[in-house]
Amino acid sequence: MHCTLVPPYILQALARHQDPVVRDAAIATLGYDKTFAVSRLIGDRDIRAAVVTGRAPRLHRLIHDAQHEEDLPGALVRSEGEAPSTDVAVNEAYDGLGDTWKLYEDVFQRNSIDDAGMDLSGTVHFSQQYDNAYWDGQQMVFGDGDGVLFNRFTISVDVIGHELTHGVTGATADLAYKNQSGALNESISDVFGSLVKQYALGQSAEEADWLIGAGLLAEDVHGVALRSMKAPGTAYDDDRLGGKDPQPAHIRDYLRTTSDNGGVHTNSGIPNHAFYLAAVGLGGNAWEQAGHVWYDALTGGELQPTATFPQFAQLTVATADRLYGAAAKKAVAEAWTGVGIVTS
Amino acid sequence: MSVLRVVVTRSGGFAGLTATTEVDDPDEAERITEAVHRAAGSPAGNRRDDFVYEFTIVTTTETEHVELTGAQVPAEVRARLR
Ligand SMILES: [Zn+2]
Repeated sequence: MHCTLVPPYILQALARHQDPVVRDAAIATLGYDKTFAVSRLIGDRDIRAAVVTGRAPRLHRLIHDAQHEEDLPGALVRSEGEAPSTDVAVNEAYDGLGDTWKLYEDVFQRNSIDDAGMDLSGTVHFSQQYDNAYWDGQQMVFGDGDGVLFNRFTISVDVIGHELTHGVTGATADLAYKNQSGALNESISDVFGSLVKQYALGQSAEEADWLIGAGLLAEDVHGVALRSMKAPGTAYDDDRLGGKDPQPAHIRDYLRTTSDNGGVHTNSGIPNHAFYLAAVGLGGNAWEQAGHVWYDALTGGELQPTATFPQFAQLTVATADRLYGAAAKKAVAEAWTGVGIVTS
Repeated sequence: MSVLRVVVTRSGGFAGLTATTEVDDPDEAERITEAVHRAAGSPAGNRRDDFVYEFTIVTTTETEHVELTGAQVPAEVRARLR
């Protein structure tokens, strides 16, 4: 049960406000319950349509604390609009989900995970010495790390963007989490996770570090991050992590394994590097042309859940051609050629 | 038939790292085998970036392979690979 603190008649007035920021916030609040009873109050057909279809941008974060146990979602510790906590992990989760929501809304006009204003729910302090973060189908979960090899998993905004993007993929192409389609699923999460960071920092494709999990490795671990989209295979080299970053940057080095659902976190290096090459080839900010091509391929309805690397590559090339013309098509095709995947 | 040893491999997770441990105390191996068999019937979940656990259970008569998700794996097994 949610409470509305602002009376509906004030929200009605705000919903007709000329400033789009004010208007959208009011519509989002009115749309909270998505009932006709509320929307009828507004009296404006366009606004009602926006409320009913969920087009009113709605950012609603709910941060929970598992208190080192494993019951989800745990205790609610910070809701949308509330003041910062004294707990850094809580604030990182809140801010990181906000940055991710903003990329999707501003750049791709996607209204949260389900494009209908879904709550963004995250839980911090999950379990004990937990070296992981995951998406459970409903929400994001972040461990604190063990403190020796890994820091807390909220430390890197691209990790938060990665997890939320698993929700977006689940709501769209729903790439099967195994072998090549699984590695594409992982790569999509790294791509949009990195774009969250680049967009928040205002960095061009040339300026960005293209690292996934920068800051996540503890201080004396030999490495800069968990993955590098610019140079897969170079993010770390430490015996305590099993040696060197194993990610391939080319299809000839594709890892055949039954572990990790067929190496989904390893082989993602190949499409990750293709995205990097496409972004640099297209130039400017990666979230512009390259980001739109990948987003359209993911959400456009043509991508099959069992897609292979070549099928996804072909779709991005066709999408680049359709959205931006022959030069963009050529740049994306060359990016895939750079990782050993030939398109037509 | 009795269990001689169990090899546990954890892969995946956000970091995609692999860790392995071997349990060769027969009593403990037997206990883990029972816990793994019980857990195999529990919901696997549909997590992304979950860990994947592979068990190689060696008995006096056979070698069995069982795979569990992080949502399924018993806490005592997880603790061994922390
Ligand atoms: Zn992932």
